[in-house]
Amino acid sequence: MSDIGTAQHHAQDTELLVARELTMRFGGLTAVDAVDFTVPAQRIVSLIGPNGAGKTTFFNMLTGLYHPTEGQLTFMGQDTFGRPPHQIAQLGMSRTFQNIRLFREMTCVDNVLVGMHTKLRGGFLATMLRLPSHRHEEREGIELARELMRFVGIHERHAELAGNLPYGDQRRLEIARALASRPSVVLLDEPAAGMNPQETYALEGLMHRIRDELGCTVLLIEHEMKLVMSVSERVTVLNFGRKIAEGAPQDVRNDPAVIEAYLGSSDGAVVADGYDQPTEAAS
Amino acid sequence: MPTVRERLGRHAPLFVLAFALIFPLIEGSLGLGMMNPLLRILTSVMLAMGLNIVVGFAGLLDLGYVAFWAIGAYCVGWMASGHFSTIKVHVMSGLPEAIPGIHLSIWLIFPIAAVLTAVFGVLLGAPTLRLRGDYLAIVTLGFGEIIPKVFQNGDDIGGHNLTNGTAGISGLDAPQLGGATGDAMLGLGWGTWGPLNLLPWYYLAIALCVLCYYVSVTMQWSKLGRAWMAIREDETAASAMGIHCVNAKLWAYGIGASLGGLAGVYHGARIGSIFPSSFQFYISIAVLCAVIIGGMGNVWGAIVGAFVVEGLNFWLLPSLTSWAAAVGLDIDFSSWNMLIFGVLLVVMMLYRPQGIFPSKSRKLVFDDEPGRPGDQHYPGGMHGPDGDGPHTPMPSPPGPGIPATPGIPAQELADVAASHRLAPERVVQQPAAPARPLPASVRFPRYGAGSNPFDRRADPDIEVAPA
Amino acid sequence: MSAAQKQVVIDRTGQLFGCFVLLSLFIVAAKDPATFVGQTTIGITNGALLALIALGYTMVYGIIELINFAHADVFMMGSMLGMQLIVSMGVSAQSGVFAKGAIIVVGLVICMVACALINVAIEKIAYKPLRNAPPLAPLITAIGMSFILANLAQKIWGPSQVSVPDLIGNGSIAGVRIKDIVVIMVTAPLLVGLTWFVTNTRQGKAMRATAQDQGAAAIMGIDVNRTISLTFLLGGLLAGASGVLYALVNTTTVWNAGFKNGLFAFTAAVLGGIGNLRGAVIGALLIGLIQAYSAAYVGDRWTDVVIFSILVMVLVFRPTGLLGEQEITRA
Repeated sequence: MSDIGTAQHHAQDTELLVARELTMRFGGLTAVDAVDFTVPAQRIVSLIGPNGAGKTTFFNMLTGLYHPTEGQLTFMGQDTFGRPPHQIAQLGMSRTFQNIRLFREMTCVDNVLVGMHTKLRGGFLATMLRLPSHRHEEREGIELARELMRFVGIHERHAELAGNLPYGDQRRLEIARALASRPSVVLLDEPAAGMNPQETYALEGLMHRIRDELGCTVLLIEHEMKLVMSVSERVTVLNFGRKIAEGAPQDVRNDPAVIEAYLGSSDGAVVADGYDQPTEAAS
Repeated sequence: MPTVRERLGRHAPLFVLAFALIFPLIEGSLGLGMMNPLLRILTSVMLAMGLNIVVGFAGLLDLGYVAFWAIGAYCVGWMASGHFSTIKVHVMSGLPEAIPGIHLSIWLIFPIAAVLTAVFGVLLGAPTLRLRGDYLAIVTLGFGEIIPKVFQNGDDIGGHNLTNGTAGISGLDAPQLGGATGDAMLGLGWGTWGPLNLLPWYYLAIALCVLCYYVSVTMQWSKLGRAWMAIREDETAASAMGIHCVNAKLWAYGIGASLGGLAGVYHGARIGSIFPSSFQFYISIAVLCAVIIGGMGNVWGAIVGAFVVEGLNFWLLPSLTSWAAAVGLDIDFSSWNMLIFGVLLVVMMLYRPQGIFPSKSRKLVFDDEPGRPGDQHYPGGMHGPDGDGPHTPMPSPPGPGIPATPGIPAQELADVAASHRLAPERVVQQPAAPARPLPASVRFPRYGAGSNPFDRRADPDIEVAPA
Repeated sequence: MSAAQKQVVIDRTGQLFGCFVLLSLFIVAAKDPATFVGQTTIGITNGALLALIALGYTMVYGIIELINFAHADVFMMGSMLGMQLIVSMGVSAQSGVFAKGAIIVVGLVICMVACALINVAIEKIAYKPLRNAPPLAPLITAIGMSFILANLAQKIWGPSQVSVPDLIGNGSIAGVRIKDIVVIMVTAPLLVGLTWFVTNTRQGKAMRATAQDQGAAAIMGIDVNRTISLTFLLGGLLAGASGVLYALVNTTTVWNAGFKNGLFAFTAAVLGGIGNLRGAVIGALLIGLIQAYSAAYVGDRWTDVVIFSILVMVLVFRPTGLLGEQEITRA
């Protein structure tokens, strides 16, 4: 288990996000147990694990939706432990949600514009008086929103209500919204869930483009193992809230602890749905 | 290019305004006698637009909005009457300096009251920020009851008579436009605005409505307005987008309250006296009714809703009563108004919860668009790894197993496959067998319920805590 | 400071404030014990009446998470129907004891059944179709139903106070007003009966199961719709009883009696922890006492402000109520 997957990148890696011994307890249940985790700049790293392993809880702690019980959390050189989500978002972290959480009654463009919130000045007086600076900013914002929608491939649909989009497009729109704040890290929570193989394949390309063209780190939670194994530069495996493995995809794939966690599915390609696991009943 | 219809639509507000400006001529020549109710209706239009910001835009159900109306009205009561008879303060009042009390020009009271009610809006809003939908409703209802009670009991607060109790404050100054000289210069001949001289009041109401409309529309399509709507749709997602939800909600409360305050100043000045008994829960509900019937979150909806609700209340029902009396029937239609509102609320919620005008999305029209939304074309879009697919529009094949999901054009995939290092066989396979059953690892969509505007139950991302 | 720590600070402040209030009450009680005892019995009576209403709120909230705004007006209908029954049967303050007693018992039963039916009808018309709508929708229809009932009562019985024959009189036994005794005699069995019903019967268990998880209850074979109707039925029964007693004790009622009493009762339900039956009763007694003490010691006209302030403070600072346990942290 090496800290960073691909050795050749070692020298130029800078850690954007560092979590030390991060722990989250709900009453008596420890959902995430003293996990050490780092996210290097301009990489695609994945977080996997059986259902109920604590992946989404971990995301919620990183983005500030949960106040972690213990540990340390540093993002962009700043202590973000227990900071509210909007402050962490302002530092350059954005995310998508496992169950799509778009602003359904708003148009696609407006969804992306909301994602741009931290980058817009939108001063009260400038807005009220409709000063040129405000109009200019709005126009630029809309242009950028369209660019982003083109980037993910849904710019034809800017005027539609987000809730009316087909499922796959909602996922793409959510990614566009997350990218709108020009984040340094984007957290994708099961982006391929519900996608067909073609879309999943295209998603892989999109993640590469996010990394290469936007220079943005991608942190991925995913159950679709083919996608994880082909796209990730490093994989971290959680089980029962603990980190059980970390490293390059091929190493993790062959790790006995990981194989055991996935109930003996030795190739790691098909994820057991976990309904027979005790964690599922507990959560 | 925008069509004629779209252009007309864009300028519809101007047509409505033009009609509003010439309406007194029509009304006067036809002798409809609806000026008095109309002024009251226009007050409600202002209130509805203010409440629409809080309820419609930000999704905060406020059942005590009447409080801000009351505070606005008391502002004018305090600042333009002889109530505080021990002191003499005159600022541009146009009245003899010898008259006791505080006498400010109404044109100064408007901005003062707007700021003051905004402050109250923030103060009353601040404790409610943590609350969920229905608890928030009850707390605001509590405030809506407390404030008028305080005004009612305010004749003896530590020995000071602040509000003159149930008797209220009467004898408010009649405003002028720029004093006697200003009035003469404008050539309107309005003089001092009395209760019988309705024309200046009408135009003032129109001006205030335009102001409220401008504020509403400007805020709606600004950073703050989008933040409100995002909070309304999904507060968790909004905060993850970097929105400071507390601040945004306080802004909504503040701006909403200040519009209510402006309406209060107008109402107080026009009636010329203020009674605490007139600020009832019922008023809050009538305004809420207007917003709901019009369509929450739609400014024109709020306007039309106010006309429907208050038109019924102050014009149609009284008129029906008098018409009935004219034919010898003794039916007091006005006393059925609460029942009518009740039925309206129930029926609207059951059959058309989105209101007459559902919250409309902004139509942005770009000249460089090849297709309209809804076309089955997917030019560009998500490409394969490291690839840049062709930008020609192509019909999308139906995705296997997930009907609503358009796939990526097969041709595009094949093109991209050549440059892809890992999965050429995968790409070649997929379009060839589109009807193949999904692999076990592909999950079906899990449509979260968290997208419901006011849904507090569904928050699966957050509520993973064991019960 | 984490949310839990904040809550501790808030709770400590609240406890300090409570101690302060108790201390002041003790001082005024020592000064004039007779007034204090009198106010206390009035407070308990008020509280008992509020408890019957508050239970309706708390049960409905517990089961479908709806603030049944119309519940207060069902109570008002109960008081109006009771008044109507007494008046149309020709029973007055001068009638014999037997006639008075009979009309009270019969009136209670009839009004309870009538209010239960009204409540169930409201549920069927206004809430059931909106079972899956956003929670704000039924709240708004609830306000609508409340307006409809209030306006109907206003049209039927007039816009001003309606007087009710004083059947119980102002006598007292051992220093306790007979009115208070009657209220306690009616309320106590109802409360005991309700508790027994909810904890021991099959239907009661179905209610609790549905309150926990509607979906799971349905899977276990519970008829959720029927159980919800039953909840409204029980709430209506209690509101009807409360209405009749209210009319008898105050010897007057009015079409908008529901609004204020309903808010007070809702405050009581919130104070005790909404969804918690015992909490609603204790909360109601507390509100009744606060109402009585505040009328005597703060000034009657500030009573509403005091109680609404309590409502606001509890909801803002301790939304789980005084008795309700702190929920496990949920964002």
